[in-house]
Amino acid sequence: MKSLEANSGGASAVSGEPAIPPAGTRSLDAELPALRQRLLRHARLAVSDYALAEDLVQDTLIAVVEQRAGRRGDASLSTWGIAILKNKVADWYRSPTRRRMVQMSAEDDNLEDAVDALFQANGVHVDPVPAWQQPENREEQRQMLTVLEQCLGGLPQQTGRVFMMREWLGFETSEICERLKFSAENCRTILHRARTALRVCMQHKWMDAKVNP
Amino acid sequence: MKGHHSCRRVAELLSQRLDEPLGLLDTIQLRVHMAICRNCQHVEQQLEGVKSLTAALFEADTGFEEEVKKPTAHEQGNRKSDRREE
Repeated sequence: MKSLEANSGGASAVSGEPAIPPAGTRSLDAELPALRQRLLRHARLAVSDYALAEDLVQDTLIAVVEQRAGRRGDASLSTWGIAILKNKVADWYRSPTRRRMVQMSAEDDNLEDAVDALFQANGVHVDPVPAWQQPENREEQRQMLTVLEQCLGGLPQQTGRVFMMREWLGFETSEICERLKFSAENCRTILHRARTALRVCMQHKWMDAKVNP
Repeated sequence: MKGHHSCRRVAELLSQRLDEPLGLLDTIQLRVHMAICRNCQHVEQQLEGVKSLTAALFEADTGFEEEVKKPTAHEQGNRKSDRREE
């Protein structure tokens, strides 16, 4: 493969070395592995099938490489790649040939008990719900995002996919119900449980850990 | 039927409200409950936190640590000019 920066991979590994080439000449090849990793992490949260996630990321990377010549503006490679991936995942959910792959499992149903356990029989919270502190700086926000990603990964599979369709892909709930053949009530319940599980997970893994490290 | 919503029901409505407009009765009862229930106020704040953090996770610039090490030359330039003003 022809490369103008044959050494860039090795050189950038040496700490302290100014490895950032002037704007416009940075090798796309050098950036692709990191972009691929990142896109895979997103795709795996959005679709339940591992091979499918890889396929969607592969298609995205091909589009990134093919469209490179026509790329203009200041959008970073990851901004651009994530936008393409998002469209590909949304297209997949909208595709008429998609197999019906989103089926609730026992794990998803168990979330009902976890959410129920937050309330007493009369519907009042069992434990006081604390206010969240805002992150104090960028570093802290990044840590919060890492914890959130863990929490998202810990959601029951299908519950997580429905949440991602709503909050990442931006589908209206009516469309989610239609695509996945769920009732409106079912959709509402799944999203409510997903959000509750996420806020409780963030509370335990981030807020409580911050107070009692 | 009771004249007010329980915290359990309020949590459902707070989620539902992120996806679709609520009916008038639910809107009013939610407002009444929220005015007096601190726990549910915090639930609302946490749900908003989850929503905005999720959005940030899928933004290129805030999503991942290893990618946020770029502005070196630019920052140094700024720091120098700050020092000059002291």
